Amino acid sequence: MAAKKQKEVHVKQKFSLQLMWKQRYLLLMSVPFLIWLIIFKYIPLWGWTMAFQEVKPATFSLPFFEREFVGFDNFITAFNDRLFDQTMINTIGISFLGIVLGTLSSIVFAVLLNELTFIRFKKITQTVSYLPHFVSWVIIASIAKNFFNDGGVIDTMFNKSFKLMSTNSPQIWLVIVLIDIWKEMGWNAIIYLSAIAGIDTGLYEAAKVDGANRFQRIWHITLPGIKPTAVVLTIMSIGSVLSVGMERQMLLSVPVVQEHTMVLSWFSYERGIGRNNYGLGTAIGMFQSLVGVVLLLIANKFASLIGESKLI
Amino acid sequence: MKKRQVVALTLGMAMMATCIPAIAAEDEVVTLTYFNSDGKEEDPWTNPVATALTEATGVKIELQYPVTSDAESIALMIADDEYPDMIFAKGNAGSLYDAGAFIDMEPLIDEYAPNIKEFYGEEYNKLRWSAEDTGIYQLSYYEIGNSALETSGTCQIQYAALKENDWVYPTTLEEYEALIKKYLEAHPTTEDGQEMIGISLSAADWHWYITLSNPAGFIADAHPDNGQWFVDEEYNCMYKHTTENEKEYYRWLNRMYNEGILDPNWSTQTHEDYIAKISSGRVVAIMDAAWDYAEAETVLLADGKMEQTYAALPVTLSADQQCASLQYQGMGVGWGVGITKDCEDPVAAIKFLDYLCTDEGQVLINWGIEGTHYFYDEDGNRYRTEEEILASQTDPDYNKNTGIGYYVGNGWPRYSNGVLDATGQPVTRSTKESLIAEYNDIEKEAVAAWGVESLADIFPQASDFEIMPYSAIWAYQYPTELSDTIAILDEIAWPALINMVNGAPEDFDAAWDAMQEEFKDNGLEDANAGMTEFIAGKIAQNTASAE
Repeated sequence: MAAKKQKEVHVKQKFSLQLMWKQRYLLLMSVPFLIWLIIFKYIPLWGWTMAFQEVKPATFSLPFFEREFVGFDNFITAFNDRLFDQTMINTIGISFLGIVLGTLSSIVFAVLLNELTFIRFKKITQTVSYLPHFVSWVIIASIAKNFFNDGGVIDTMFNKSFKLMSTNSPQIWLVIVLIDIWKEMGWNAIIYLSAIAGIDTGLYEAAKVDGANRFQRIWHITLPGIKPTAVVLTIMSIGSVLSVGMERQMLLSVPVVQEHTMVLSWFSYERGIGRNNYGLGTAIGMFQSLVGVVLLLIANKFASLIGESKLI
Repeated sequence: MKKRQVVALTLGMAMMATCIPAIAAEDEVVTLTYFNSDGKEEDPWTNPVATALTEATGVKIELQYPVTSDAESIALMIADDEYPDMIFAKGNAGSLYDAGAFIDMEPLIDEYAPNIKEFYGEEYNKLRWSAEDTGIYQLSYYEIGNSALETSGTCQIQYAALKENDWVYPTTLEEYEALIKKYLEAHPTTEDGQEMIGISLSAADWHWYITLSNPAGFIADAHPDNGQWFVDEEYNCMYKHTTENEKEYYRWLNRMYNEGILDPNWSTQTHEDYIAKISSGRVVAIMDAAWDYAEAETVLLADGKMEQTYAALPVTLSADQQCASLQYQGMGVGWGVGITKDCEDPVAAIKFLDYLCTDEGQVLINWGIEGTHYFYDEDGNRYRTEEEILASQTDPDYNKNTGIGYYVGNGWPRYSNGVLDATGQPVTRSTKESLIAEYNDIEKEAVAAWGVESLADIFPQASDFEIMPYSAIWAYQYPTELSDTIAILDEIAWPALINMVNGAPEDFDAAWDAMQEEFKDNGLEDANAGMTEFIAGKIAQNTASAE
């Protein structure tokens, strides 16, 4: 008991040079990671300066100060692009749909797995379900196209033309999100499964004694038990709302539905690399990151409002 | 002190050691790296033709090729600011030029390469980049003296359909449609029970340019291949998806779609699906280019479905139009090999290219080694032995192993079919006679029924057209601003055209008008004016050079 008290005192200790000296070995151990962070995460941010310059093949190899500074012109060009508005709508729509359905499905799947009593079957199911996570989108997309494309397996099976992947409407968001869920659900469920494993089994036993049935136990013990995990994961995913993976969108899209599959990362690639206008591409990418940070902060605030632990 | 001396001595020796092989290597082979946008595989540079090229020029080529797409590879080169010694950049040459990657070859040509000048002859000045920058950055390879021997026409139909129609071939879209329908009615399924498809196209990737956009210009406007452009008699350029004729063509496609003649999955199928469909012999008619469906025909021939291969047709929208498939557009300018600023030995590079431009070099890459691959008869005619011809037709690795023809299609200067060398012998292996001799049974039947010599004879001949004062527009490298606007227009047209064809007939006009509006809002006028000006500049350049 006495030892514990001492520990608490340490935690509350204010930051000071003395403290740093005391914890010098700990600090030393973190240095390599700091260096890693600076080299790989902060130094590349220097590239953001391209967003304020005109950078095309003709000027790309020039030294930094010889390129023309254009202020916010690249941003203005991006916001006025004919595709920009629809791209924003698509990005937000598809990623919220993804977060909601993705989180729900992973939780449901984790809970269902957890309720299985036949251990070997549970393990096999779990392994099989997360295998697609390791398969590249190129392969997933060609399998998906085999099934959902016009004249594909589904159409043939029901002998009807569903136009699943060729209806030019937000319906394609749902199709893409469902394919994504199929790929990622098992993988995402792993975290929830481990959260469930961390719940005190005593609670279940007590509930059993009190006469709670299976559904009541899930509802009153399992779900509240994984709520903090769910909140943290959701906050994290909201931070990356705008960074919907480009390859998934490109591979699952056909020109007919491109209006509804274009997302910011693809747009940035298309305008930046595709049109050889690196400054413009950088501006779009930068915008995407900034909005991501803002959304993350909002979600974090919201989490603390509803009484969950904050992430940052 | 002593230590320092030792270090200096060691350093000095090391430096000398590196110098010695450098001096010794002076008259040895220079290795140049070459990026070929069309390259598909490693080339060890060991085949007889490659060896002969090295013997003649002292240059060995180390081939580099795109792993994913050529555009991406070249974008990355620019981003790294590091280039191979020579590049064949296809449509990406403009950005390389902007990045300052190419060197001006003219001083080198003047000093070291008389044969290059002779090779291009009157068209030499067309190689100049623009009126402002008269430097020569690329050597063209396309359509250098062509008497078009073959064509895939504006659209194609299975030989079987023609055969059942007593070999009467359609020349208008109406007749084409009637023939497809007639054949479909008689043959709702293939012999192995698969459902027949009237028309199929490939539009899910860049192939939309080839099977959707190009045929519209060929058929509706009876235009030669000018990419996305329609040029009127006064050389005014118009973005081509705006002409009234094209509207009618797309209306026809829309009707075909709604009548179920056009494959319902045409717009969503991948190119592989498309090729697989054609290869199975299920598709009666296509609108494509021979190089694009050649793969499928190989399969059809291997499966013995000779009648399911495709006949090229001179179809146009109306009977008073003249199909321009064989029109000679002059030497293609804009695609070709260039030397980069990173090339350490540009003299070796230009001498290598110079050798390719000699008759000797051209005969070498086209025919191989004299006495091994080809011979001369008493009259001085070049010929190949029967075994050699057979080997070239049946051995899939023939080109790679012998090098014959292997270096013809890789971006280096080369004569097109029909050009004669100084001794009056054809430079390429394909001549009208050789092509006719190689026809398969169904092709022989077709020419016999039509009473012509070659399949291309049913088309209006090149001599019926005047040669335009500008080159094929698709190959030109436009100024960046213009190409950016065109890219936006294409981006609008692609999905819009597909959705228009797939829509209900009563919505067609509204969809067409909406697309035109969208074009106008996104710089159609600028693009038209810019292209007209660009072409006017090229015409001025070309007519000046002809004088």
